[in-house]
Amino acid sequence: MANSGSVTKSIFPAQEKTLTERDFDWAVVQKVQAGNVGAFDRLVQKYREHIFSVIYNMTSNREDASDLTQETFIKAFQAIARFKGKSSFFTWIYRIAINHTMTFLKKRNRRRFISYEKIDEEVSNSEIFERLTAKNRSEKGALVSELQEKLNDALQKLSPRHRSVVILHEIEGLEHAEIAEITKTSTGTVRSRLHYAKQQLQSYLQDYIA
Amino acid sequence: MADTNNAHEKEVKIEDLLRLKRAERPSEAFWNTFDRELHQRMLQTLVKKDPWYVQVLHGISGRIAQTAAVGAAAAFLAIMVVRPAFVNATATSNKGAQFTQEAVASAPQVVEVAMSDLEDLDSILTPDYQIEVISSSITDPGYANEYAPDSFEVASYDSEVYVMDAAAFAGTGLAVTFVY
Repeated sequence: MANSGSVTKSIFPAQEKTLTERDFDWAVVQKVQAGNVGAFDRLVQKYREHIFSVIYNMTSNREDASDLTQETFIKAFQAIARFKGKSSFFTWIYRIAINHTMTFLKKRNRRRFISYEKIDEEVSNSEIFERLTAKNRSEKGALVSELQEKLNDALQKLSPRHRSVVILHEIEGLEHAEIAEITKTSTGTVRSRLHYAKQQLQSYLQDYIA
Repeated sequence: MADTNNAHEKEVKIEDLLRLKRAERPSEAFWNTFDRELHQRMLQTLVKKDPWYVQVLHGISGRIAQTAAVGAAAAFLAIMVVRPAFVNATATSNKGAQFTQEAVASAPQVVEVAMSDLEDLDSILTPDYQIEVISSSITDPGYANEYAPDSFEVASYDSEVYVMDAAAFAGTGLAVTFVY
């Protein structure tokens, strides 16, 4: 498995994902394929937050993200009979989500409506915010909303391809090989896109980076 | 205190900032609504049956469908190109038919004649053409080919008289017959 770089903790630890998670998902998929429609709900419950997170960060709009996440699961449900288990369900559903969002973004073009999700209060007490507050000498509450806006704005300045790689790696914590499988590219391409995207983001957010 | 200062002095990296995005999470109420809406939409998908052509398209892989679409487009183009040529050909044949009808209309009337009246026809009628028989006297024994013509007849006539009989005669005014 590829090195996850600076990611401290993967959402799906690699070993668990390759053995247990994949087998578990495949067993549930087979149940759905056999006609147990209710079993699909287990997959929805397991992946809805991750899929929503990817789409939300791609679109910066919570309503669009909600619709697109639902549509992603509906698409997966409609196509599940054709899922042969050659890849893991996890990469398959992420691929559907990314492709569906890319299509949506192409149609949306430049019409961008932003609606942010509320940031978790716990994060404002995190070490990073302590450092940022000290560095910028600003009030914590104001800094949280300011940084949220700047971060989303910076992400939206990236091309959808670069944005998706950054989101999958830095926010979702996926490894290069997994992203390569989802985006149907090589790990080299993933690394290259990630490097370029980070450079871009650093230039957009240099006020917050020491 | 010294530890706090050290923490403040630590660099903030772009990865640290991006990780803050993980904290943008919807509430539990959002997920309740989400689940309810998703179940409704999935039920609609289950109840709603695709039209037959959508089912057929789903049965065929995307690549085959594309090939079929290209083939259909090519067939359509071929029909659009060939059809005008076909229409022109029909128009030409209609003109030919019209010409034949006019020719029949302007042809002399046929009069029925009894066979007895035709017995001495040769004495009554005078031919309006002349036949000249040209015999080939073969003297050379090496040329005695059984396929060689013994003679050939050349009939010459007034082309204006024969103009309605046949286009070939009207054009040349000569008819050649080989006699073996």
